[in-house]
Amino acid sequence: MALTPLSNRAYACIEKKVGNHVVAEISEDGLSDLFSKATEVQNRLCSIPLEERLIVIDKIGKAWAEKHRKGELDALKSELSDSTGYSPGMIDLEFSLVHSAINALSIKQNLDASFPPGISCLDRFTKVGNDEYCWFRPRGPVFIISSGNSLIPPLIPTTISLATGNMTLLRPSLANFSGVKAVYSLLEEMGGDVAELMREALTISYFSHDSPSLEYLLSKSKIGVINFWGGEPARTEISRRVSSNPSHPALIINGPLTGYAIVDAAGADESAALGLAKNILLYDQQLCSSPTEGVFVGGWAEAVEFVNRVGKRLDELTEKLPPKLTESHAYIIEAVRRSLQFKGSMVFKSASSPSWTIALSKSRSILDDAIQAFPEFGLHARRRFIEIIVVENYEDALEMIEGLPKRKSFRGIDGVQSVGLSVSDDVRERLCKGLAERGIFRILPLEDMYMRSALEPYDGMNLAQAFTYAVYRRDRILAE
Amino acid sequence: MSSSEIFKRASESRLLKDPFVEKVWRLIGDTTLFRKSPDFLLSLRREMLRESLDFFKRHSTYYSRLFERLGIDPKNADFPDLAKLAIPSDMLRGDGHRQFLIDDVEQGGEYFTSSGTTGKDPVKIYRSPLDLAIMIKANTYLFEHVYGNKLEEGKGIALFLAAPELRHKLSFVAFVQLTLEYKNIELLYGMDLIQGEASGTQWQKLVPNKERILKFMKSKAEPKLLFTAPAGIYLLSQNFEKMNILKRIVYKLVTGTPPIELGRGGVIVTGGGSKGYALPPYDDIVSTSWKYFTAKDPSGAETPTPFMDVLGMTETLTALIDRHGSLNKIPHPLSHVFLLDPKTYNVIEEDGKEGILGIFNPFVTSWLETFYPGDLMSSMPSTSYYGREFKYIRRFTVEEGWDLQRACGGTMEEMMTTKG
Repeated sequence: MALTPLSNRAYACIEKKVGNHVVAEISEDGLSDLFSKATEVQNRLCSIPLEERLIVIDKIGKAWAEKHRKGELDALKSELSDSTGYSPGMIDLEFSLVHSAINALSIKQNLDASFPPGISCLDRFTKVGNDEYCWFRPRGPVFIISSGNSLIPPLIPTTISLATGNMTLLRPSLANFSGVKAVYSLLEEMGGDVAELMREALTISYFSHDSPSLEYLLSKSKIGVINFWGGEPARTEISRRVSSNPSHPALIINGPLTGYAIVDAAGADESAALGLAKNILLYDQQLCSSPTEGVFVGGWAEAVEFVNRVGKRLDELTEKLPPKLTESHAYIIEAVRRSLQFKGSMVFKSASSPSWTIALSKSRSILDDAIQAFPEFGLHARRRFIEIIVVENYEDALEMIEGLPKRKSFRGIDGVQSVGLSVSDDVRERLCKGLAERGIFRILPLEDMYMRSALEPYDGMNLAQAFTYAVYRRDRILAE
Repeated sequence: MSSSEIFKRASESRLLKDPFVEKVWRLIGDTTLFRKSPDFLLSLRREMLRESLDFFKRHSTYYSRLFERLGIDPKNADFPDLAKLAIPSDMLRGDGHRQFLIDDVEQGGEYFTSSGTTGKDPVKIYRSPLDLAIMIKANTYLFEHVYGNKLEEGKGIALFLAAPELRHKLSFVAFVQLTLEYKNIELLYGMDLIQGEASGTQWQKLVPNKERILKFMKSKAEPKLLFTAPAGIYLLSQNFEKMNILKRIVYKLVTGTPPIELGRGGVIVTGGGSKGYALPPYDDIVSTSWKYFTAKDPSGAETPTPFMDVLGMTETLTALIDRHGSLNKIPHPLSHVFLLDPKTYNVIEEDGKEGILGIFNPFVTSWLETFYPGDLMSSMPSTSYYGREFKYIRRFTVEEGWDLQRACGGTMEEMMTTKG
């Protein structure tokens, strides 16, 4: 089945084969046609009060939840399980989270936190001082390249872009295309002018990396913002092309990041064990917040006891979220387990299938040695696998985090996005300061480091502000 | 090193004073092992497993610690422990083998490497002079058992469709040359390694040495032993298949072939995998080759040319050898071959199931040679000394590129995957 665009009008498309997929991507002419109305569409969208736009967004989330409840998404669940490699249980869980991402209240909270003058500054000139005002206007059209594997990450920037009044063009990945399209297709089931206008403002299309349309979008089109989620080599290539665009669009890059766990003897309780286990299993550790390495500050025996607890929890959770394993993955994970064991790590693993693995290492990462023989076991290939390094003090933990992007076993990662903590209260403040000084974006409780608060910035920045620009107005004369 | 130098150095090995190594050396020269019962040999291998682990515990700090970590006591060790001890061959790539060598490993041996056709660092293995001597003896006797006859000293001629330089790189080539040297049988190398440079890049390729191939074809010596990768015999047969009548007549006038007569005891021995060629099934290669290669049995009666296939790899001192049509792959009596369940990695006891090939060679003295190279095989009951025969199914494929992307964003998928 061809991956066809979601758009309010039929734009000219070019059909092509990408891998095993047939893709219909909007042509250069089609894009030119689409963007010719961008300013008009954005102005009309912004003339509708934000509250009304959020109501429509909220309805999408609710309609999705209803479909999920009724079991109407089962076919899609199976399709996405096949295309992404996640288990059907994981996809089901992700479906249940869609409503919390596309939800009027959380978007409103996010916008409130993003714009100090308050969300009214998205509707009109809002006072920021004595006779001084700001109005945050859409900077779009916004082109979002969201190449991730799962559903929620593309929904967040797309919904924020729409909410801030932008004409939005989303290019999902091949794997999550059907899911993302299914979510926003719900706009078609809604009546009313606002939904109609939002349909006009949102287009979803796939573009292959060598597509002339993509080349046009990046280097020639009259576009305001390009938001790329991903790493090399695409990032550099996209940056190069965008730099030649005469419209000089803003390029916002959310590079690949990972998560880290810090546990100490005082924090190694049942709650931390369950939390770590959950974070290792969710999304098969493919979130930028998923802990893919951890340190245990304390003694070896205490660490062993903690890891045993985590293992027990992992076994319990695996029953609910069984992995989807290929022969290749099973082979490589067993080989790496042996390599780690032979090189000195203590390896804890699932009893039945090669579902999960925890390697406990002393003072330094043994995975860094093992990866030399198994280059295919890079971070992107690791599933439900964590190495926990037992260190003596918290400074060692900070050093491990600081050095992570340079290590072979984390090749392709920009750095650590999220650090999940389960440590004694008396060191928390000192540790948080140390983490802040080392460029970490999020510091959270270990238990739910996968959760995003509506108030959170994205990888250290404010997306809503990045998708808008401020019109400043002063009614009084400053000059004496 | 020549085979006589190897045996000289081996006889001077300090390790021979160790009771376990002394026992290995005695057993490896014992051809009656091939006439023992499977139960006897199984029991002998279990005994050797325990003695071998004890030897490595005494000679290697690394193994001593490893056994402790894995909870293995050499005195009570048994075959299921091999499932814990077997290493994936990938761990032997680059300098990976070094960590496994005993503390007092004897110098003056040779290194062998895999062909490197997988695109990764090749597997590189060190063989001490004593291990090389064991290799020659063990493989020669195994070869002769499967071949059905002793290779008589100084009788016959062999052609290896490989370049002589490979003798110091590939263990299969080394084993063939050393064995034939040991038997004083003339060996011709049918290929030359040509090296060159183009646009600043070094390249090398194998080209046939027509003179030596012709010498083999025209030789009246018996038996004629042809060693080649399956691709070599396939390409040779294809060459004859594609000749038009005129060319075939001219070729026949010049070389007297086809067919190539291998004479009494003539045999084609294949080994070394596909070498990157897309080959037809082995049965088809054999049946096509029968049109162009003829042989006689030892009594002089015409017989379809026997084919033997050697499953060896750089990291095993001895191979598994089959004889097409009559015997599936069989190991040396002292080599313990086992299959691991691809899901649990426990040893599969029953025949008929597919499993990951594991090999334990208790007669190797420089490192604990137990590993799994990544091949899927099955076993079947056999009336041979081993009680089991093995059939090769396929190589395990490890997917390259990333099937899945990071959830928050990987990169554009066509840029990051090697799949179509």
